[in-house]
Amino acid sequence: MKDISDLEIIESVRNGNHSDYSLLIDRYKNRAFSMLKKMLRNEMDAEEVLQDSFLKAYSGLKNFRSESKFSTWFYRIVYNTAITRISARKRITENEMSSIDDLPELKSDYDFETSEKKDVNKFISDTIEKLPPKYATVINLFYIDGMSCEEVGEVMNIGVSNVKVILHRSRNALKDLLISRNYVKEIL
Amino acid sequence: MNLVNDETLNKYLDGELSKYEALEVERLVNDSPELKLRLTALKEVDRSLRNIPVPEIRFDMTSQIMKRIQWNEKSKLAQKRFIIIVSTVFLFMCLAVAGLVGFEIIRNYNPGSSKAVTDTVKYANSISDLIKTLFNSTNMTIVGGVFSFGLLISAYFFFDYSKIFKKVGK
Repeated sequence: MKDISDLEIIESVRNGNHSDYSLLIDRYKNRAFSMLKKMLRNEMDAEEVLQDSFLKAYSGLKNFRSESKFSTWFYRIVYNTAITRISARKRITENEMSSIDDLPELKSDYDFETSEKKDVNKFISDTIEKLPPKYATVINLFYIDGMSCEEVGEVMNIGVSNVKVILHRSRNALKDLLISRNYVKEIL
Repeated sequence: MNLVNDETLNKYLDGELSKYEALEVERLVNDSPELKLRLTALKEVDRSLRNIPVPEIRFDMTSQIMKRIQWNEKSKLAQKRFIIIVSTVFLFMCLAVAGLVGFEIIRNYNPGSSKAVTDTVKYANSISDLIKTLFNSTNMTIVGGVFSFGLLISAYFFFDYSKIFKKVGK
């Protein structure tokens, strides 16, 4: 089943095999959930938004044109649904969400000094949970979903240069945090 | 390239520098422990980000979504059926009225006489009178009652339907 492409599944669903849509759900649910969890910072909200996004995608499947990848199209639905949820919660607009000048100083609750095994992976995954939604989304789409900067820009409706700025700032912030915790000196 | 800033290090990491620039960065990194520290930290961040665990949803979301999709499909089908039935009934009623009027016109038709026209006008007036009588103040209570009853029954079924939809959806 893993060999079937997204487009083949979509074609099958369009031909009336509605149950084949479950293959697409299984394929994307966990990665999309990961992105939503970081954006919304609430598991219940993330699950609700994810279910709504899958239903929206199903309804819009007849309008999906194979010009772009299904993943890009689907993540755009997920991202926009999440933005709507955040906007309703915080009364902020998408434009405000898209500004890239708001990366606050990062902090992590993970204590390197006291932990026996200095687990940098745990430290990083713990810290990116605290990134602003836009930054966390870029990190998620780029690293977890393996999208290119162009695709990330398409999903978030921002330019490629902005995606790169966000990506670099996030990495730099995490790098500075690692240096300040003397982690790198130990591995050098 | 005298100054290697974070931007350059990020570009180096992403392979966006030219071969010459990349070699220059490597040379400078080897000469400067501070730069080496920054690049190592950046590489470590990049490696860790590639290993971020993907969380798994704790419940069977796939079957829940599929249930909701099936329910939506069913309700769409039911809506279509309802619209078709209502439209058909309405069409038949219109046809029946038109047929009745046509029948009366043909029945009273007498070529060469103006009586046929007079009779048709009279018949149309009688239908209009019937409608007026049906909706006059005395009968309005009965008509209103029947209409309200129909409305209440429809509302009951509508809310019942919505409840089932919410149940299946959750």
